[in-house]
Parts: sequence; C-alpha cells; structure tokens
Amino acid sequence: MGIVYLARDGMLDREVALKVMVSNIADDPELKMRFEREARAVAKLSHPNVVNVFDLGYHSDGSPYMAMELLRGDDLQKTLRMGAMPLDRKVSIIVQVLVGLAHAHQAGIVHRDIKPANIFIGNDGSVKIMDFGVARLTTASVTGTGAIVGTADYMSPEQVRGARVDGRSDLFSVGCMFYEMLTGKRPFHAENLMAIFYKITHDEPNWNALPQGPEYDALTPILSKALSKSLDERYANATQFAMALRDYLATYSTSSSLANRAIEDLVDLNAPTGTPAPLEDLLDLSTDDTVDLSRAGGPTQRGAGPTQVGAGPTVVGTRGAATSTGTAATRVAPTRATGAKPPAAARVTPEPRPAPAPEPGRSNTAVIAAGFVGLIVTVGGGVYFIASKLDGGQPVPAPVSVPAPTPPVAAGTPLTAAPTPATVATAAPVPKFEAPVGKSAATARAASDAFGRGDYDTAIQKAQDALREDPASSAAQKVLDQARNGKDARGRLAAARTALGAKDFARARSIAQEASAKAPWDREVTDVLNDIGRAEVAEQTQAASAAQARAEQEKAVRDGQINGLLSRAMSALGSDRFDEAISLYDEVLKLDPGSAPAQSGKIGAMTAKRASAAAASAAPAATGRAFNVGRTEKKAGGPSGLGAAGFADAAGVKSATQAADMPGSVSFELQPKNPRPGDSYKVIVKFTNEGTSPITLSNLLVRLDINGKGAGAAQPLSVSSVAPGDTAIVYSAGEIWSDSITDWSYTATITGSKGETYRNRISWK
Amino acid sequence: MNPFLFASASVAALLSAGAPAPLNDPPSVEHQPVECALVARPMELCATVLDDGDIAKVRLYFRKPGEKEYFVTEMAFEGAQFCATLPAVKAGKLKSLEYYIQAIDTEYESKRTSTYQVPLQTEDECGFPAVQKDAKKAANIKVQATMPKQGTKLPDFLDPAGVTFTPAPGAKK
Repeated sequence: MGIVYLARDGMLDREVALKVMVSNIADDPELKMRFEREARAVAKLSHPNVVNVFDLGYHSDGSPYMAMELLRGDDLQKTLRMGAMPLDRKVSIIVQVLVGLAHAHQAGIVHRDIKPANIFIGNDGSVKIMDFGVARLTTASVTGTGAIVGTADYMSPEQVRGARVDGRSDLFSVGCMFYEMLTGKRPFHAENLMAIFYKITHDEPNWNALPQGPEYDALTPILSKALSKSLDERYANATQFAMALRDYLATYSTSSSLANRAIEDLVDLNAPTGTPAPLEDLLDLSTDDTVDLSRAGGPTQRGAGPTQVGAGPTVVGTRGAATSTGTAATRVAPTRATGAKPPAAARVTPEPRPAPAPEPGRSNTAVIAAGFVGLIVTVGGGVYFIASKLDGGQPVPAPVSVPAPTPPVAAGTPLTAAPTPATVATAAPVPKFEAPVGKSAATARAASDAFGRGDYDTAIQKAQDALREDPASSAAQKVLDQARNGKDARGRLAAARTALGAKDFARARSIAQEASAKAPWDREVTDVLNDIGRAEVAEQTQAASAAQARAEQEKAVRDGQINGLLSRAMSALGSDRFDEAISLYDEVLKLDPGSAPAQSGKIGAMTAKRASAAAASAAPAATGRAFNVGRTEKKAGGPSGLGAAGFADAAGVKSATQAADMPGSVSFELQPKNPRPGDSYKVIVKFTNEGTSPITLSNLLVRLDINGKGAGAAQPLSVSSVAPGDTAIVYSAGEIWSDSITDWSYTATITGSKGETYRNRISWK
Repeated sequence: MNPFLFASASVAALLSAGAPAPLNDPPSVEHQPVECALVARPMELCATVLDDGDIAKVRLYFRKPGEKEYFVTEMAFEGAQFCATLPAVKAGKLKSLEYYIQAIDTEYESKRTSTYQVPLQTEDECGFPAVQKDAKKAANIKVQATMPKQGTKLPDFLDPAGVTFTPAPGAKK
C-alpha cells in the first residue's frame, strides 16, 4: 500500500515516520477526497492505543502521504512469529486493542482492517492500532477480474457480503485475530479467496484447535460471541467485549500486573449505548468537516512559507511538541521538491540517514513507521527531508530541497484552474518639454500646460498658434506632436472600451496596448488596461465558479444515480437475485470505478451466488449427484496387445478381465470428498496389488473431462512398483471446483511392465 | 488423435446423436488471474484448458508492461491443469508483469485469455502469491523469444537462475 520512510523533522529535531501511499490512489479524485476526510477524522483521535497522525498531504506525483508518530518495536504479526507469548499477555493485547477501538468507535470511526499487521507492539509493551481510516482504501478493492486485494482472513461476514458495516465488524476481526493468537491458525483460512469467503459466511471456526485447559475453555464463549455471524449475537460494542475479557483476566490471570494493567485500560470506558456508526455518517453530518484547513495548517496545505510559522492549531501540533513551540507550521509539502540545492539554513543534516538496521534476534531494533505518514521538514522557506526506505519501494534521494517558497494553496481549493491574476498597468511619466523661449513663449507654455492637464485639443490649438507666431519653436512642435499622439490614443481607447463592453478582451487589450504605445503617460490608457484586466479576472472567476457548480451538480446527479443503483442492488441481493445485483454493481462501477460499496457489494454478490450454488450441490445423494468410481478394466499386454490405447477394442477389454495374472486395480480418492464451488480439490489415483508378486508400473495416462471437453496426457508415476497386498498412491493432481461443472470425470490408465493395462474412472454427474 | 481419448470422451455421444458432430470448437481456457507474485521468486501460473478433441499447445506469453514483444513459455498438463513457471523478476526492476495464456488444439482452433497484469510484491503485501514451490520446476524454466529483435539474452529484468533462453530465429548476437 505504501512505502514507509524514516524522516527527520529538522525544525523540531525529531524523527517521524513517513508513509507515502501508492500513486494510483492519487488518480482518483473521489478516493483522494475520502482520504482527506477520513484523515481529518482520524487525526482527531487521541488515545494511547491509537497511533497518532501528525499530518497529511500529497507528494508531487499526487501520492497521498501521512506523517505519524515513529514507533519502535514490531507489529503483532512479527511479534507472534518470534515465539511463544503467555496467554495473559495475549489477552492483555486484545484488551488494549479493544480499548483503542472503543475510543475510535465512539468517535464514529470504523477501522475495517483489523489484523495483526495493523497492531503495533512497542518496545515498552504498548499496543497501538495503526492505519486507522485508511483501511477502506486498501481492503476489498476489486481488480478487473473480481479478485480481492488484501487480507481476507479477518473480514467480517457483512464485509464479505458488501453490506453496511459498523464497529461490530471490527469486533469480528478482533475475534479472528484473537483466535489466531490462541491457536496459531486463522479461523477461516483456506487456499483461495472464495473458499475463505464461504467459510467466513457459513462455517464455524474449529473450536477443537484451541489448546486444552480450563483457561481456554473459559475463552471459548467469549470468542464464539465475537465471531458470531449474526450482528445481533455479537458483542454490541468494543467495551462489552473488553469487559468480558476483563472479567476473564480477573479469574484466570496468573500475572497480576498484566491483569491489572489491562483492567486499568478499561477504567475510563463507559459502555456506549447502541452500536457505533460508520465513518461516512460522521463525516456527512459533522460540522467539523468544513474546517478550513488553510487556517489550521491542515493536511493539504502546500507550500506554506515562512509567513506561516507558528500558525495556529496545526495538525502537526495537535498532540505533539509542535504546539507548545509554535513552530509546527514551518513546513512545506513535498510538491515543492525540485531537486535544487537547499538554502544554507536548510542543510542541517546533509547526509541521508539510513533506517536503523534490525539486529538479529532483537525485536526492539526495528523501526517501524506506524501507519501512514508523511512529514517533510522545512527551514526558512526551504524544504529538507531525509528519507530512508523502511519497507520496500524506491528510496527517495536525499536531501531534496527547494529554495524558493511558493504561495500556499489552501485545502479545498477548487479543482478548476485558478484565474490568472490581472497585471496592474501603471502610466509612464508625463513628458517634460523644454522651456519655450522667444516671441511665442507664452503661447507655447499655454500649450504645454494644456498637455499636462490631458487637454490635448487645447494643447494642439495652442501649439499651432505658437508655431504660427514662431515657426522655429521646437518646444511648440514637440507639444504639438505629443498632443496629437495623446488625442490619437484617446480615440483608440473609445474602441477598446466598446470591445470591452462586448467582452472581447483580446481585441480590447490589443487596441488599448496600441493606445499605450502612442501615449504611455496617459492615465486613461492605464485605467482602461486595468479595467480590461479586472474584467478578465472576473470573467475567469465566474467561469471557474460556473464550472465548479456544474461539476457539483453533475456529481450530485451521479451520486443520486449511484445511490439508486446501490439500493436496487441491495434489494436484488436480499432477494437472492445475484446476477441482477452483480449487474447493478457493475453499472455503479462504470459511473464510479472507485466505489467501495460497489466493489465490496459485487464481491458479496459473487460470493453469495457461489455460496447458493454450493448449497444447492451440498447434498449430492439427495439430488442424485455423486462421485462414482467404476470397476477397473484390464487388458492383457503381449505382442498383440493394444496397450493403453487399445480400449477401443471392446472385445479385448472383456477378454482381459479373465486374466488371473492381472491382479491390479485402480481406485480414486477425492479430497475433499464433496468439493464445493471455489474449493481446491485433489484427485488421488491409487493402485492396489491383490496378487502374490510385485507389479511393476511403467506408464500412467490421465484425462480430465468437464462438461464434454477434456484434456489428458501421460504423467509421471509416483511409484514404479507395488508390492503384493499393497495399495500405493501413484499420482495426484488438483484444481478448483467450479460452479459451472455439470459433468465431470477423471480417468486413469496404468500400464504395467508387461504391457498390461488397468483403467478406471471416477465421475460426477 | 489418441483413439482412446476419442473413445472415452465422445463415442457414446456421437452414437446416440446418430450423426458425427464436428470436433472443431476451440479449446476452453479458464484461468483465475493471480493476485500477486513475489519479487525475486519464480512464479507458477496455471489454467484449466479443455477441448472436444486434443490440445496441441498451451502457451503463456509474458512481457514487461509497455513493451511490444512477448516472451513465451510452454504450459504443461499436470493432471488437471496446464501450468508454467515464469522466471523470477529481479528486485526493483518491475512493479508488475503482463501475461496472457493461449491454447491451440490439433484442429488449429485457438483461444486466448485476456491480458492480465500480476503485481510484483513483497511477502507482507501479497496474500496469495503465485510462487513456484517445486524446486525442480524452478530450476528448469524455458523461455523463448518471439521476435529476433529481442536478442539472444534473457532480458535484464529477469533472473537467469534456472532459465534456459531460446532466441527467436534470426536474432543477432
């Protein structure tokens, strides 16, 4: 899902975990929006059993990133692999997970991807839930072929069905995780996804897998309740589940400190009434959803420059030291990274800092970026971060820096292009004329004064008068020339205003620029140019607003269509009209390929369809469908024998059965005995020697036939000889049982060293 | 065509129908696209291929996403499915591999699957990896080039361990 880096916040001199999400999420505006909204909600969580989120933003390639507290330790999956863990400790971990979940559920947030890999065990023994609110982006995403990406073993039945989930879904997942911690096995694991889904929705876990002893017997009803397929029979909330474990620990704990610690975690738990609502509801109804993140220094703020230093209640500083220092907002999103050299002040740590290498045998040396991440550290308007790859992906070159700050872009900026800012035109200085001399001096001064007032007609008239009085007056001639230019410009401005009135901005600007060339000093010219600029900006703003409104309207229409289709799909699913439901979900996915409800709903419908088909075929005896093994047909070899291919000679087959020296027989075993659609099945071919001397086998030919079509070829034998009285497995092969099978058979033909052949078939009809 | 196979599959149907039916449907190819494969590990891909006659060849075509030419490896019948082993992709070279499967019967009727992309991931990321667990098969991988321009060497993104590479005819060293 992402790449986790160890990063250093140079300003606050602390290490943070930086997880950059895969870029395909960035390609979907809907996913990006959901990501932001969920991250805001998750950032509000502050609990010792939930990993703190510091910041959220987007990388230059659009990949979302999140900065979170850096934890040292290992996730529960790895911790469990390291060796045995006392039962008390296991229960204590689950209690702490439930306490964290209770807090989140009360805030209206459903995790949706509880699994050992998302539970972090700190070196100090602390337990923290990771990847909150992001799970929806990572689980139950469907590929084009309907396959699920992600871990399916911990999904709840309602998740598998694509139904609405609430906090109780997380409790089921906790139950799965707890079962695995106790038995070492996932309760519903199977070899393929469809089989897992079937087990989750239909099968009970194998309770016999729990270790023996009264302490485990006492846990069984708690686990059973947590893993109930019926929502009503499951714990109503995390607090109830945790309370049950608290009571268990009070009775069975052998370690008073562990028990007390776990129980202390429950002290502040007040059992909520009802079940927690899913996150969508919270987000849709919460007024906090409209928080102006640009003021809050929020997740999507980009390029906050030095002027933002100390800006208010930033997400970074919500729970961290940044709040108290007031410097948290000195940060720049990685979109500014260009690879240019950082300013001197930014080169605090010039070398990349590698992640601490895990030391063999010690769990506390691994540095795991807890959950999502992404903080980039800036100093003085530059940006600098070190990044050491922690779990795969391409290393980010470090340092990456940008010296020049760019204007901040607030969260929530419309996706439409921003209007081009108008260029403000300013007038050139008014020309100064030489002081007139001679007999026309007074008239020439009057002309110059009129020019200075912008009264070009008077200036022209007076200048002409002065030239009549003194044709050699250069001052009068210059005033006359410029006044004529001014008058010309004024004439052009009238045409420019006409074009502006018609919103022909290009023509208006062109004419005004011609006027400006004639009389760059004229304020009317600059006024018109600025009027044109302002009108252009207003027009662009209006167009942007209209586009935004259109987009919102289209989205509303589309959302309405999607909701209608989803509702119809749910209704069809409820009436077991699986194909119709799948088709409706497909329609939703055409409108919104990233629709999580449609993706999970489609999987649920496909699963339900398969489950229904499986149920229909679950009683082969009653429906007349069963696996039947025939009798071994035998054919002698020898010079005139037909060998393995010779069974076309029906007479030969009959005559061969009389042969007393052909004491072999072929039989089959199917595992499982009655495979259901989606199950992996295996056909085992056996050879029995009922004679008194060994039979040497030389060749095996198998053929699989399904619905009138088949395939076959010679296959290697597992054994070359079968002793008298023995039954040997000579071959096995398998595939997945499909719900499209109506007619199935498997034929094995074994050739002995003398050319004799034994053939048998197992069939299902 | 193997007469036994013919008899076992179709004789009864032909006799009961009263007239021979033509055996010219293309093979059916059913393949569940794999979710993911592991970096630096050979992967195994399988498909259920059936035909109303005999299957002549089943081939797995693969390439680096974005490239024009495919490489090919033969898929062998393994008792129920046709399977092939693809060479390991070196770490850091590719994010995914593109492939499709094509089957052809002895009547030259052919069928191919869609083109799929299998993401190459780590063990932590990949829940159900398509990994070749049989060491013998992993050590006996045969890859053929389909075009001379693909050269005479295994492409750089593939790990040559256990791989026999056959250039396309006309490839220049």
